[in-house]
Amino acid sequence: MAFVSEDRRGVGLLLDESLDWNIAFGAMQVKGEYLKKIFGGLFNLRDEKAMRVLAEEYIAKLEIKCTSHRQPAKELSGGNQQKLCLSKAFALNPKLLFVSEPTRGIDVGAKKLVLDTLRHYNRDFGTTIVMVSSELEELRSICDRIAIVDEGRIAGILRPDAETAEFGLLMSGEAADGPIDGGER
Amino acid sequence: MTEEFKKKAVDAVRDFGWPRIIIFLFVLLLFIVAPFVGVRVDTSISDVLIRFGQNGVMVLALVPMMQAGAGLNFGLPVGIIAGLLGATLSVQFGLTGWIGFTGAIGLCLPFAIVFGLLYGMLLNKVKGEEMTIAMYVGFSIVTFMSILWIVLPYTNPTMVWGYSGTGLRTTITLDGYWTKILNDFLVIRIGSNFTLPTGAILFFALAAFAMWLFMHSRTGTALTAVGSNPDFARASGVSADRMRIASVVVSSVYGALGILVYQQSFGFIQVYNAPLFMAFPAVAAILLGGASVNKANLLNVIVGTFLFQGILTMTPSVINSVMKTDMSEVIRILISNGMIIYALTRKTKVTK
Repeated sequence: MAFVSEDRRGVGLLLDESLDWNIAFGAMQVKGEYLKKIFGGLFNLRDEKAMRVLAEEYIAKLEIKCTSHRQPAKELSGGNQQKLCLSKAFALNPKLLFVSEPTRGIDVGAKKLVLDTLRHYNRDFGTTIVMVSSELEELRSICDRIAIVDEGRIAGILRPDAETAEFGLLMSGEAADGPIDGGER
Repeated sequence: MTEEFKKKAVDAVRDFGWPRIIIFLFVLLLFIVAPFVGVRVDTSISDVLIRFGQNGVMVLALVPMMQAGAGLNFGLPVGIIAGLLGATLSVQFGLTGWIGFTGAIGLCLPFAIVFGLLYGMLLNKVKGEEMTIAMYVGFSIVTFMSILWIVLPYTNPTMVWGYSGTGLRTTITLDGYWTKILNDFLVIRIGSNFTLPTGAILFFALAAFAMWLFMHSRTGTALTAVGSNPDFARASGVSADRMRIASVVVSSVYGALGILVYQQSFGFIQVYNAPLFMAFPAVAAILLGGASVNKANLLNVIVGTFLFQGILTMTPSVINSVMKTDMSEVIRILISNGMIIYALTRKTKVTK
């Protein structure tokens, strides 16, 4: 299970550290990967080489624009930082991935790449992805099912090819088949 | 082409840091001037090396806490007190030679770990104000121990006051125990004026290597991440508080080892107020080596200790010979406190 936060600079990245650190850190701490044993298993050191290979793999795969895997994360643009956050999550090989506002504040090209990558992981590796977004068109373009949340409750779940008007109704608090929980509305 | 070269040169200088270049040139100047005012260069170099071995480990002690974002360890006296307890107990039990020194190390470790744990827990309660609190923790523990040095039932006649038979002396000689045990290990003497304290340098190298291993381990990596961005670390399943405590414990242990190395080179154990004057030079040295408040590496430690100890050794002999007055202490305080102020003003350079 992994989570990509919308707060890239806050919880998403180690801004002062290099890209390979950012990508490999989660997997190292949570799953004990990218460590090598020395003194016959007495002590674990981080495996810089494996980290570099991993970082370079994701840099190529997600087209992260950077000078090298040693570049500090703070020097990247917003879109590339977002890709970095995704790489970090993918490095954990999650079965279930939560993504919050993955395309906020990044340019169109990067946006497409991010969405394509998410779709790729979902279709080809069977990763279940729960994505939160405020852009309806974006959700309709890639999701299988879309749940609309209104005032903290799920107002209804629609297929992405449903009428725009139905989305509108749910968003305004009007549940498709009357209020789900018969609230005071 | 020349424009480009000029830009590159300026960048290189900026990377290296003006203060270090100025201090380096200053030390170099002192070495050049030395022979003309009757100060022997070989003795001076030997002194710098001895002082490097003497102080290096204590400077090393600052690295983990800086990396973990717990700031400069002005509370180094906490570790030093543990070292003093180890040293005095070792002398009390009458352990001499290598057994004495390793015994002191063995005896100081439990104290250093326990003190480190408590001190770490305290620092976790005062996040953001660590450095101020650390300084007062240092003051408090030193003062508290001043009482205990009198009260604790030490009986070894070399340590207690001669006339009352109780309470430790302010300085305890290590003659016959473990004076210069590291300094004289595999020592290389060239002529009568040059001594290379191989053992102390080796011990520093060993300590630095252990620190390198620690900082490259899983814990060390987590610790660096906590210093860089605590929220990120938490999101990756790392407890920031526990990592910070780990860094403080390691720092205290190194502080304790550091003071033992210092004592064996100095030849005396200094109790009562002496630990108070240990933290500032160590902090100044690592900052002089180019560390910022939140980032430090082993190179910073080595360069910083050399430069700082270079100044300490050269100013008294050279400046005093030139000016016929005792300026050394003034210059020493000026540089150590100046470096600390300079580093604190540059704190904003680290991205938060």
